[in-house]
This record gives sequence, C-alpha cells and structure tokens, in this order.
Amino acid sequence: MPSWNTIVITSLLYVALLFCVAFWAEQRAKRGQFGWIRTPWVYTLSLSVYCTAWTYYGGVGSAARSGLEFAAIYLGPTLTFLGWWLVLRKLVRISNEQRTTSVADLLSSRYGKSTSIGVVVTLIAVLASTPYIALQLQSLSLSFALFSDVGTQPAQTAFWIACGLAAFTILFGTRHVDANEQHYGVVTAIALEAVVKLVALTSVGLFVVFGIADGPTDIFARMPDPELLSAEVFGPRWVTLLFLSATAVICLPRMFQVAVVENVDERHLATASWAFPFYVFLISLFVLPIAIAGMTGLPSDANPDLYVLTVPLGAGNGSLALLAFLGGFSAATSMVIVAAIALSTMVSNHIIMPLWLRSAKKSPTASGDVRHMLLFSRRASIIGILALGYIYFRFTGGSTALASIGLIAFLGVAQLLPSIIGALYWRGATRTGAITAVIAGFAVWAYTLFIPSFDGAFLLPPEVISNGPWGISLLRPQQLFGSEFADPLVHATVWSMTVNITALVAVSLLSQPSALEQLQAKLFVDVFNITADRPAIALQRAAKSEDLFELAQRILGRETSWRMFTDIARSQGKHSGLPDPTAELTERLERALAGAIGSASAHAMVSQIGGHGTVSVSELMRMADETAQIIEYSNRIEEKSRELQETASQLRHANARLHEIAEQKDAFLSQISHELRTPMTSVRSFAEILRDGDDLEPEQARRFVSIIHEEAQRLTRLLDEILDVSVLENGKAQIEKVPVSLNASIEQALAATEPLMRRAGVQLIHASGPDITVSADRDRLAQVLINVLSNAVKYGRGQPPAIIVQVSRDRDQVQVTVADNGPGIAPDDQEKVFEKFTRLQHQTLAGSAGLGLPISREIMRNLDGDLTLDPNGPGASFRITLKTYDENNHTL
Amino acid sequence: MVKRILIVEDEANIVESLAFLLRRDGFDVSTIPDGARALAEAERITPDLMILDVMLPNLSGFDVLRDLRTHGALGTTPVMMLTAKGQTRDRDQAEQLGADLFMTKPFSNAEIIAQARRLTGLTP
Amino acid sequence: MSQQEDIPRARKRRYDGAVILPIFAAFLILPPFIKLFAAPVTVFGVPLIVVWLFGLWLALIIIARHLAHLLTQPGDE
Repeated sequence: MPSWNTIVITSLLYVALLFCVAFWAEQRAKRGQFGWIRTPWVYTLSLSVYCTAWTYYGGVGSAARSGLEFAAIYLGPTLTFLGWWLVLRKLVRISNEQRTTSVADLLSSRYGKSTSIGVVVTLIAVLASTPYIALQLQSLSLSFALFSDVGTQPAQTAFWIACGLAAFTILFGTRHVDANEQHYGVVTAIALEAVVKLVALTSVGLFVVFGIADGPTDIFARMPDPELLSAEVFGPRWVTLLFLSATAVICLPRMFQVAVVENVDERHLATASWAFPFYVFLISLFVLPIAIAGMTGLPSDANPDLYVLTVPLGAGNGSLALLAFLGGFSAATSMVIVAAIALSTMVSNHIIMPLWLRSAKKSPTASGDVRHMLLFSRRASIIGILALGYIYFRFTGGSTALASIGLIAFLGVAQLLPSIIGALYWRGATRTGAITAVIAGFAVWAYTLFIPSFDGAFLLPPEVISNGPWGISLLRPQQLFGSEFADPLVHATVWSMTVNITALVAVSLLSQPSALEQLQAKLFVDVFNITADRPAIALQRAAKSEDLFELAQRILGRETSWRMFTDIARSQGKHSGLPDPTAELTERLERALAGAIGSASAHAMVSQIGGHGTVSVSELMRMADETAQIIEYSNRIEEKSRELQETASQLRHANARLHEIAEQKDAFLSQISHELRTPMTSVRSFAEILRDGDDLEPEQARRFVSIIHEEAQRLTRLLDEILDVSVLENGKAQIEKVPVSLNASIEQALAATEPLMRRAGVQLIHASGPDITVSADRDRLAQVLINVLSNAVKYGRGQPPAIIVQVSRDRDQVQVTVADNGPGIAPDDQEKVFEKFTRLQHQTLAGSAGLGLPISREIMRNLDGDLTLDPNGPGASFRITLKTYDENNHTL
Repeated sequence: MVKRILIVEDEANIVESLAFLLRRDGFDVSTIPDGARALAEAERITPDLMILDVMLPNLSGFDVLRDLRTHGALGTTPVMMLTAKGQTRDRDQAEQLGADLFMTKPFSNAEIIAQARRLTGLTP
Repeated sequence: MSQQEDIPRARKRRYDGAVILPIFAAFLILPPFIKLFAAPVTVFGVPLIVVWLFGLWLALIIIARHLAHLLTQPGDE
C-alpha cells in the first residue's frame, strides 16, 4: 500500500503537471499555434467532465447494488450525442452566433436579453451544483483518508483541496476576459485528466478480469447473485435515469461550458457524436467486473463506492491503486474546475454585473475599469462557489444524503430543459413562460426530492415528509396527490417535468412577448436559415464612437478593441480614426461584449451609452418583420435564380426551335408562292393571248381556253390541299370513325385511279381477300388510298410498271401495303416524302403540290392509324395502318 | 436572219404559251423540259437567247447557267431567267451567275416579247 | 418547400438518418424491448443482457461514426 507521503507527493506532482500543461496550452493558443489543442479529440476528451468522482467511484458502487442500472447514466449522454444533429448542433450554432457564455446567458438572450431569467437560472445552477461540488470534495477526502496511516482530518484535507482548485481555476479560468469565453489551458488540462481517468479505470478493470479472475467468463461466473442482472432494473427508474442523464449533458452548467461554450468548431461535434459515446462505453466496460470482484473478494462491510481503490489494494497491487486514485482525483478535480468556471461566469455576468451596473448609476465608461471589475467579480465568484461547496460538505459531510446527490442535481438542472427546447424550436415561448416554468419546476424538485433527501434534517421535519404539511396527506412530498411511485426520483421527475412543461406552454400562450423577445426568438429558431447570409439587425442608437470605443476598451482590453474598431472602420472605407457610429458598429460591439459579460449586461451597457437604449416597440416590430422578410426574400431569390436558369435554358431551346419554325414557314410560303404562280403563269399568258389575238383560229382558241380551265382547276385543288393540311394539322378536321368496309374503300380508290394506271401502263396486282371492317372515315380513307396509289403510279416507273396492293391483319391491326417496282426511295429521302412540298429531285408532280403524302399521313394519324414507308423492298412500299372496328370501343 | 431561242422549262403549259408567243413574233423556238439536257441542246442549236426556268428536274436553272457561263463557245449567250419564287435571294444569285434578265412568273406577254427582242439584238 | 426539394436525395437521406438514429437507439434500450434480453442466459459465460447492451452500444457508435463522416463531407452545410 502506497504510503501517505507517496499519495500526497504524487498528487502534488500530478497537479504540477496539470498546471504545466494548462500553461503550455495557454501560451501556444496565445501565439496562435493551436495545433492539436483545437482538434475534435481534445474537444471529445474535455466532454468527459461528465464522468465525475460520483460516476467514477459511484458507478461501481451502483453496479454492486443494482446491477446494470449504472449503464443508464452513460447511455443517456450516448443518446444525446447520437442525436447531435437535432439539438446540440443548433445549440452550438446559436451560441457561436450569439457569443453565449453560459446556459443562463443562452436563456437570458433568447428570452429578450432578460436579466431576471439570468438571475433565476444562475441561482438554480448554483443551488443544484453546490451539493455536487461538495460530493467531489467528499470523495476526494475519502480517497485520501483511505491511504492515510496517520489520522487525517477529512475537513482539513477537503479545505486544502478546495484552495488548490480555486487557485488553479482562477489562474487558468480568469486569465483574460475574452470575447468568446474559451479557455484553452483548462480544456487541455481536462483532456489530459480524461485520459488519466480512462487509463486508470481500464487498468483496474483489466487487472480484475485477467489478474484476479481468469477472463470474462470467470468473472461473471463469480457473480454472487444472478438476480443482480434481472429484468427488474429496466423499469420506470431506468427510463428516468436515461432521461435525466441525456438531459444533463446539455443542462449541467459544466457540460454546457465544455460542449457548447468551449466548442471552437461545429465539425468537432460530428466527431464527438461517436467518440464521446465510445469514451463512456470504455469507462462503463469494466464497471461490472470491478463490482463483482469487490463483492466477492472484499469483506461485506467494505464501501462499494470505493471498490475502484480497495479492490487493487486488497489484491496487494499498490501502484495500481495509486493509478486508480489519480483517476478519481482527476474525475473530481476536473468537475470542480469546470463547474467553478461555468458558475462563476454565470454569477458574475448575471448577478454581480447587473447589480453593479445598477448601483453605479453612471455611464459605464466613466466608472472605473469595467474589465478590472469583471475579472475581480469572476475570481470572487470562484472562491465563493468553492466556499459554498466546502461549507455544504462540512455541514452534511459523511451523511448518506450525499450518495444520491448526483441524480438530485441532474433533476435540478433538468428543470432548464423545457425552456431550452422552447428556446430552440418554439418561437412562441415567452420570457414569462420560461421564468414561471423554471421556478415552478424547481420548486417541485426542491419539495419532492431535494429537501426530503435530508431525511428531515433540513427545512422539512420527518413527520411532514411522511404525513404531509399540516397532516394533509395529499401534499406528502414523496406521494404528491396520492401518486404512488416506488422510487422518489421517478416521482419527482414526473411531477416536476409535468408542472414545468405545463407552466411553459400555458404561460407562454397567455403572455405577450416583448418586441426584443420576438426578435431573439426568430434569431434562435431560424438560426440555420439566417446564418448563411445574416441580415444586419441592429437597433438604431445614437452613440458616439468615442464612447463606444472607451467602453470596449474597458471590457475587452485596448488591443482587442483597437483591432475590432479599426477593422470596422476599414470596412466602412475609413483609413484612419474611429469608425462611424453606425448600427452595425453598436451591434458588433454588443455581440463582442456579450461574449465577455453576457447578453443582458452587454445590451444594457451599450444601450446606456447610446442615449436612450429603449427602442420603440413599433421599431422593433418593424425590424422583426424586416428580418422575416429578408429571410423570406433571400429564399425566394434563391428559388427565383434557380427558376431563371431553368427558364433561360428552356428559352434558348424554344428560341432555336422558333428559328427552325420560322425558316420552315419561310420555305413553306415560298413554296406556296411557287405553286400558285406556276399555274397562274399559264392562265395569265393564255388569257392575254386570247384577249389580244383576233387572228386566232377557233381550234387554237378552244385549246387555250381548256388549258386555262385545267390550270384553274389545278389552282383550286392546290388551295384545297393547303386548307386540308392546315385543318388536319390543327386537329380541327371533322373525321368520324365509323365502321367502313376496307374492300369497298380499296375498290373505290382503284376505280378512281384506274384511268391513270391505264395511261401509264401499270399492271395492278391485287387479290381481294375476306372483307375487314375498319374504324375509319369512308371518304378520307379513300382519299388516302387514292393519294398513295397515284403516287405509286407517278413514281413507280418500273419496267414494266407494276403496283401490288396487299392487305394483312394482326388482331385489331390492319395493314394495307401499296408497293411499286420502281427504283425506290433513297434512305435519306424516306422521311422527306412526308414533308410538305417535297418533290424528290426537283420533280414536279402533275396536278399535285407535293402535299398528298403529308395530308395522307395526317389523316391516318387522325384515324388512330399511320402511314409509313417500308424501308425494305425493291421499290417504294407505303404501309397504311388501321384499326379494326370494335363494337365495345365505340358504343359508349 | 431568224433568231433562235431555247426555252428550258418543265411546265408544259407555260412552254406552250411561250413558244406560241415567240413563234408568232418570228423567232425560231426550241424547247427542252430537262435541266440536265439543256446544255447539250444549246450546243446543238447555239441559241441567240436562252429562257431558263429555275426549278427544273434533274439540274436546277442556276446550275445550267453556271455551266453555260463557263462553256467556251456558249459563254456569252444571253440568258433570261424565269422563276415562280421571286425572292430577292434568287434574283441576286441569278445576277451573280451572269443572267441578263430575271423575270418573275406570271409574266406579261408583251414584256416577254420586248425583252426577247432586246436580248437578241433585234431592238436596241 | 422548394428548399427541401433542392437537397439532393443522398443528403436528404443522411439528414433523415441523423434524426432517426437516436430515436431508434432509444427504442432499443428502453423497456419493453430491452427486457427481452434480460433472460438468465449466458453467451460464452457472459450474461446475455451484458453482451446485448454493450454489443448494441458499440454498434450504435459505429453507425454514428459512419453517419458523422457522411454528414461532414464537403458541400454539406
């Protein structure tokens, strides 16, 4: 067993090491050489302040008493970090935007930069944390006492420890007043302590599993009572513990400090989302084996809360016990240090500063060095908080009440949760609602859990606890309104959260938020929409630049202020002197000050300088509306620009298409002109001949007249065709679909083209088969057949010319093929034949303007069929597709 | 001496009217309905004027004109072009290729006769 | 809204995953589900509930790590 001297010297050396590390990190950060100080790993390790002496030692104790219950304390934070995307990310973003310094500052800022809510939250945090700090002091003095061979005074030990912690915290926690409350020295030292904790506990665990026992199987085989791992533990208490511990990583002042305030980069959160759960996983891994080893290897009166130390000691492994001691030492000191920093910031910013500002009654620039005052109030707060913890320890020390104080504290700070969630997600949550909720929840917590935990030694006598005040049993603190919960913690959690949430919702709905509250609510709830392109929201205040600079200097220090002001001046285009006192300047200054003294105080100070800081409600409303409009507007612009891009490309496309169509139209008109002028030429010419020529022979004159007649007919046909195309293409044609005999239509068309064929000497090959009734328009179908047939006659020109007409049927599809034995149509021209006025190789069709095939195709498409050109075959082969007539489709 | 005119045109009725008019005015008229055979026909009869349609089967009037202008013996033959399209683009192209006259259909008989006389040198 | 539509599908899935993971995890470690594993059965000598709880824990950590990696890829807000 290590001697008392060894323990003391080791502790002092360890503390010296922590000082060096903190100092070194602070120096590096000052020079801007952050290196791994600003990595996600340091951030993750610093989160381990969650694992205090209570969990370090108490976890094993809890495992010995209630089996896996201890795991809930670690699984809760695991859940919160797995869900970082939902809550933590938003908290961190808001805190970075608003320069939040503490959980009290967050709520104060959100609920209208209210001083009162800051005070309430600070008081609650101090009240809930003091016993917790006392608990750390107790476990430290207990662990020291364990190694002491001379009779030590636990109170004395605790006193000196408290002094040492105060010194460290003051040295590294209040070295400077920064615009963003980040303490690289402390965080790095805490990270180191996290490693020590983990190494110590894991070492003890490995020693137990592989040194004392013979592997995991053996250690679990030694378990004294299998009931320890029964399903009993997964009851309401399990759920409550998960809820409280999940809440604690956000609401505990020290956790808020490391997780949110000290966060330098949002991406670190992503790493911590799995790395921190992994850390607590490793911490929990050996808790059960150590507990089993303690229960089986040590006398039954040994305190399970000290198994981590007594198990290695009992096995005669002194150096391991020393390491375990250092682990516990780390757990306790890191908690106290961070809690003291967090609480002192809150006390100083939300209680001392407002009081001082009020008492000074003067402009802050004229009243001494604010900066000095601020550091002094921080340091005094740290000493005060540790003194409180020490006093609490002295008065309750050794009582069993301390054992459960960890969870009591968890529920105490959990009273902030509804207001925090409301702050982040519910714009309707108001200041009055939040204050009422926090106070009511806290009162229920104190009445049902905190005060009864003293077993009648404090405020409530034992008979009141068991019978209720004035004997009213309905008000019994642990059976409120007769509710029977087996566990007081579950009872208190259910009642306090119910009252809390109800108060928040009801009072918020009933109360009227101030304009500043509405503004802040918008900034909080919509933080992800605003951050990208932060619209300048600023109060119009008439302050002189000199005064503002003076104020900044007093709080932020000369150098920082100078840098900030010249920066702003440059952005205003001024190369020397102070910037103009614009709204942006006051707003930036206020945010910077908020980082040091909290939003409420910063707001008050800047407003005080700026003449009357009070802004008219109507102006604030206007600003709030403007903000909403700007957000809305920028969203819309974004959307618009996307739409515009799309439209532009569509327009380009449409333009190209229009160009094409215009060209087609020109070509079409020019074609029409040509087609009309050609017959007109003959008509005019012969008409003039007839008019002027008296010497014409009657025979000649008759011939000329007949030419005129013929050409006039050609003109008429042409005009008909043009009209036909236009009507068909616009879908206005009156085409009916009635049962038509296909054979009759073909016969009709053949009869019409018979003279043409005879003149050209065409041999027709056609065998009429069984008749098919098709769905068509009799006249239109005949027109198509005639068109195709005369086309074949004109272009077929085989030697000797022949035309084959075939009919085939496939279910409801009927095909009529008209093929000639001519030269066929070149592949390039196959689609062109259906274009208007196409005459292949400049050939003019007798009596046709080249509209026959396009018209025919339009007709067939209007009949739900088609006209296509079969690309194969020796000659040109046109295929007319039709539908058979189906009763069911047409009798409607 | 009788002036010879070659009409290259595929519309039979137009050919008939032109031939009637010009013959009545004393010209010796030959006709051919195909652009591809126009040059060969011109070589054969060496016309004093060629009346050339633009839209011809097989070879367009412009192509015939181009070939004619690069043809040694016939290169200076006066050419009167006829077109039913009447677009400025066609008129420009005809002038560029060396057509002496560009007439739009339908034409006036008197104008055709007057121009034929002028181009064949019968009247100044 | 259009902003939602604008998020590419893959990214939208990651966002959904980030929201669903803690809910899913809570379901697995809350009664009644977790009670299923509190049977007096051992796996290689270690009680089933211990194996289940710590195994599940580790699995959640691995998923969270994968998700965190996806969520912090460049181009992601």
